[in-house]
This record gives sequence, structure tokens and C-alpha cells, in this order.
Amino acid sequence: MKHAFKSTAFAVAILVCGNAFAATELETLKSTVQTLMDRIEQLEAAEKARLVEAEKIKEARDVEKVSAAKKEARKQYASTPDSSGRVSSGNPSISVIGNFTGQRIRGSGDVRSSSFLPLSEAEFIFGANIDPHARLDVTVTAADGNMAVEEGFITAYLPWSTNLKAGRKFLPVGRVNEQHPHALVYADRPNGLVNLFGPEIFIGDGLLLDRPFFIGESVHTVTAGLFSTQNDVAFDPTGANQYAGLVRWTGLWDMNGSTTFELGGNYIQGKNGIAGNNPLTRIAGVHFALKNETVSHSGFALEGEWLRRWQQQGAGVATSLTDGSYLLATAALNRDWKLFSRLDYSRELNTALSSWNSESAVSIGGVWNVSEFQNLTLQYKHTRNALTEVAKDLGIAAGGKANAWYLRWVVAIGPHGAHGY
Amino acid sequence: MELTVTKMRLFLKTLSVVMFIIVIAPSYAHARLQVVATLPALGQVAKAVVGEDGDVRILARVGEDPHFVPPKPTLARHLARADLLLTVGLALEAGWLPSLIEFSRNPKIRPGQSGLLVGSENIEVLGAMEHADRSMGDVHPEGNPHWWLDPIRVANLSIALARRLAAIDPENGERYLRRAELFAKQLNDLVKLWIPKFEGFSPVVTYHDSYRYFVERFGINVIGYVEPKPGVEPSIRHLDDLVRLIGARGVKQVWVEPYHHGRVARRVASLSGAELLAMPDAVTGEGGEGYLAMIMKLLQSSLEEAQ
Repeated sequence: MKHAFKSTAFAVAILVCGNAFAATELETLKSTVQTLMDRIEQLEAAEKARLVEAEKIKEARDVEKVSAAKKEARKQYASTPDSSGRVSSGNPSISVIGNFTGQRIRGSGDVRSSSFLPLSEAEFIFGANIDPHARLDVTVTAADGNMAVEEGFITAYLPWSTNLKAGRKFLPVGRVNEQHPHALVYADRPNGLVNLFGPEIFIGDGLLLDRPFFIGESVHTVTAGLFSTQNDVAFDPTGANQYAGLVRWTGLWDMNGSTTFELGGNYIQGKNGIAGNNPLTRIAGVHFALKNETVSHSGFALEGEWLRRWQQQGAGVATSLTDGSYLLATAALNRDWKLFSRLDYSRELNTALSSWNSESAVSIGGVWNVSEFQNLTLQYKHTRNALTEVAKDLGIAAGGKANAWYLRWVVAIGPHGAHGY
Repeated sequence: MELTVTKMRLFLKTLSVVMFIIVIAPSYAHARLQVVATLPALGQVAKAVVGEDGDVRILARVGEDPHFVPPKPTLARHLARADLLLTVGLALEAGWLPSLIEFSRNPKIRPGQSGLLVGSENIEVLGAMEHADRSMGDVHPEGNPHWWLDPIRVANLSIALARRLAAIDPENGERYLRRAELFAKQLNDLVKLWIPKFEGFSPVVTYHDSYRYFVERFGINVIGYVEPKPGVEPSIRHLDDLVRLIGARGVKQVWVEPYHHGRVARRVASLSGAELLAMPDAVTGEGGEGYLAMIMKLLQSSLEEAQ
């Protein structure tokens, strides 16, 4: 091909030369031939480079295949029993959280109660991918001599970055409800949440769809779902199942490398079973968090949430209104030490007097992370004018006050993963 | 009663619309190759290989303890768009990376997928343990994860990275391989040049077992750690023993990671008379130059203070 092209070029040049009489024309033709020769060499070099590149990419792909095969072999080896008979993969990761919380309460009416570091709650957490499309997480909790499935849900990885969670779950309401108690910096439950949902976490069985949206430097998560709940404070006093729906949005912005700001809101609505004519419970709330953490792990956080519950009581009875809120400030001195203070505020509408009964509480405390896997929390809380649910929880009469001390020791064994940000 | 039913119907309709929007909202699309690295040093290596043919994002900050990076959901925005995620492995990022991968909803970078390149699977690992439990501290039974401080292992990684990128993006495959080979040669030349300079170097004490790969490469002897066990704060007794050991063995330098540069390390240095050196596992800098600057900082600091 090369020779044919060269010969043709020469023939054309000679033919043209035969009709050329002026020396300048001859020079021009020589130049043309030279240009054609250069072009041929360029094309040959480019073709050679392309072949070398293709060969290298093919080689790279082969190496990838070998590497993948080796990885697969390693996986197979890892999933076979070793010399001690253990199987190192294929099983779910299992971790156990021990939550030892002692408390000393002194309240109105000479109420006195205390306990010294009982195992107040043990969580057994199992989790693993079922297949490439789904994951199962189960948390079994043992508390007060009873065991129960606290959470147990399948996460299905749907297309379009959407996850479907099906099963029993701590409901994503505000900031705190979705978190396991051992992951919180304080040892108790904020009074505002106790007044709205009772002393236990607000749990639902159902379906939740959620999806993150990444917009510029921020991330927004939208959650929506339907669930049934047996919550006897917010929904059915008899503890019967009631059905409700939930929507939630949370946005998080990077203020700088160390600081983030979070803002969110949620709305829940469902029948409450208080009376026979399908009265509703509606809960709306907003939450925020400003967090700063330096590379040396010192920093601060200011976070809070406010929730309002409208609880219809049936035909002809005024709707009950309850607000629950808290404001938490945390100062991290370093990775191991934290100080915190929390203000709780709740109020409920006295429909007979059309006035609000207000409750407030202030907490201070400190946390020592002994290591990555255990921490100690000491907390003092003073509650004034306790509303019904908090009063019940503290063992005092409604409207009373109480001083409570909490000492909590949390330990974790097993591959317990990181908590949410 | 009628009003209640109407309210519930309206709410359920609204809920259905929100759920529909969640599912059908458009996903992300991008033209250029997107690479995410967990640590700054890995990001610099990735940039050296990717060059102008793609974008490299880094999750951890320079100076941040790689064991404890805050898992901010905003970091997941980089992962959501990633074609390749480069990690250290050996459970170094186990406390923060899995939740970010999960949050990103990017199936390409899930474990076992071609978009996840675990660096430790491409190098010779040191310090693997057959038996380990947490009474030994926060150990990594699979091996010491601080391998990126060894330039030769990083040279090998850069070749492996280029090959993976060539498989993902064949159009630019040759360029990735060429850049990786060039970078690997630079690293090999640097090591050959500096190894002889550490002959007869005094033993050192380090805060955490972070420099194992670095000291083994350059023939430096580490005789003790400020931490009695990985991740465990030292007791007074341990520090007393360590100060005595430093005196007895003629240790001239105590090396500390910037995120451990605190009261305890300063106290050990002042009581023993040894020099306290902040030895970073990452420095600011662009691409391969940044990684080389970090290695040069480690080499020069240790030699300058020894003289």
C-alpha cells in the first residue's frame, strides 16, 4: 500500500513535471512530493501508535480480569472455614451494645428512687447484604427482662438512587427519634419527646421511601412513607395499631470545611383511635443543627427541634395541643471529652381554661470516651412543672419538679458501624 | 367526621405525589471521569495518574485523623458522581466510609464492584495478625493500613490504578498508564537516592504505629510507641517506662502525627530530651507533586533533626 501510494505520487509528479517548463514549477512539484512523503510517514506513525495503545489497553483489561479472578479466589478462600473452623464471611455482622444506666431521682412529694448501673438495655444488632439488591438489619433489644425486635427492616436498593425500607423502624421524626439511645450524647430522653410520644422511641411498621438530592454544596434527603404504629401516647391509648403517613425533608449545607448547617421539617398524619369517629393525630416539626469539628476533634454543636401535636379527641371535644422541644449545646474539648447542656421546653393546651401549661427542664453533663468502644456519661437534670408523661416517667405528680442524676456506661463489642452524622 | 376523612384523603394524595417525585426525579449525569479518594495522599496519587482527563475529589482533609473522619452527608455528593473510589482498605475507613457509600446510592462503588479500588489489595501488606481482639487496642487484624507512606507501594498502586482506569475509560487508557509509569519511576528514583542516607540512623519512637511501611522502606528502627496499644491513651507508668527506654537506647526523635500532636507527646519529648517531630501523613499540594512533597518532608525532617 505504502509503495503503491509512493509510486502513484511519483508518477503524478513526473507526469506533471513533463508539462512543466519553468524551474520554479519544478521546485513547486518537488515540494508537493516531499509533502506527500511526509504525510505518508505521519499516517504510518499514527497507525503504529494506535496499535500499541490498543495492545496496552487490551493488556490492562486482561490484568483487570486476572485481578478480578484473584479477588474472587480470595473471597472464596475467605468464605471457607479456616483452621479453627470459623467461617469468616457470609454471616451477618453481629454487634452487642450494653447500656448500663443508673439514676437517682428526688422529686416533689418526697419521691425518691435510685438504681446503680443496671444493664438497662442490651442491643443485639445483626446486619448484612441479602444480595446486590437488598440488605437486612435487625436490632433485638433486651430491657427489664423482656426481649423484643426494636427494629427489623429490609433496605431495597431501587433504581434512581431511591431506597425502600420495609419493616419495623425508628421513625424519622425530628433529629433524635431515629437514633439509638446509646448514640446520643446525653443519658435520658428529651422531655419534649417524652411528652409527645412517651418514654419509648416512636416506632412504626411499614414502608418508607427515601432519596438524597445533591444540589451544589448541599444535600437534601426526602423521605415519605406509610406505617402503622402502636404508640399509646400520640395515637391510640389502648395500644392498638393505627395507620399514618409521614413526609420529611432534611437539608445539610457545608458552611466551610469544619462546619455544617442542617435544617429540616416533617409532617405526620393518621387516625388515632381515641374516639369512634376516626379522629386524627397530626404532628409537625422543624429541626436544625449547627456543627463544627476541627481536625483535632475539638468543636461545638448547637442543635434543636420543635414538634407540635394536634390530637383530635372526637366529635364535640376540643383538639388537644402539645408542643415539645429541646435545644442542645455540645462542646467537644477533644476526641475523648465532651460537655453538654440541654434545655427542654414543653407545653400543652388546657382546653378548659384556654391556657397553656408549660414545663421546662435544664440538663448539664459530660462524656468521657474511654476508647472508641466505650464511654461514660454523667448528667444532671432539673425539671419544673412536669407535664403528664414526664411526670409519669419521673415517678412524680403532674406539675411537680424533680432533680435527676444519670450515670451511663455504654460499651460496644463486634463490628458496630459508624453512627449517622 | 366528613372533614376528617377529607383531610386524610388530601394528605394521602399529597403523600403519593411526594413518593412519586422521589422515584422519578432525574439522576446525575457527567461527561468527565470522576475519581474520589478517601485520603489526601491517595487523592494526590490519583491526580498524578488521572491528569487532565478527569476530576479527582478527596474526602478527608489534610491533617485529619484518617481513622475518624466525620461522615458528613455532604461528602457523599462526590461519591454519588464517582466512576471510581480509591480507598486505603484494611478497615482504616471502616468507621466512616460505609455510611457515606450507602448514602451516595452509587452502585458503581459498592464493595465488589469495578468502581471500588481498595489500595491494600494491590500491595504487600505488613502486620497482619492471625488472632486479635480488642484487648489489644484498636488493632487492624488484616494488617497495618498506613501503607501509603511507602513510595514503592504507592508506585505499585499507581500502576494498578492506571490499569483500572484504563478499563473504565479505554479512550484515555494509554495516557493513564503513561502517567502512572512516569510517577512510579519518580518514586523509585527517590527511594534509591534516599535509602543510603539513613544508614546508621538512630532508632525512633512514634506515637501510633503509623510509619511502619515508611521505616521499613528506609531501614529505620522504631523501638516504642507513645500509645501502649493502638487507640489507647497512655498511662503514667507506660510513659515513665517509655522515657527510660528512650534514654537507654539513645533515641533522638519522637515522631508524631499532626492529629496526635498534643500535651502527651510534648511531655514525652521534654522529659526524654528527644526531639518531637510532627510527621504528616499528608501535606497540601497538587497531584504527584503533593505526594512527593509529603515524602520529602518526612525524609528531610528526620535527617535534618538527626544532624
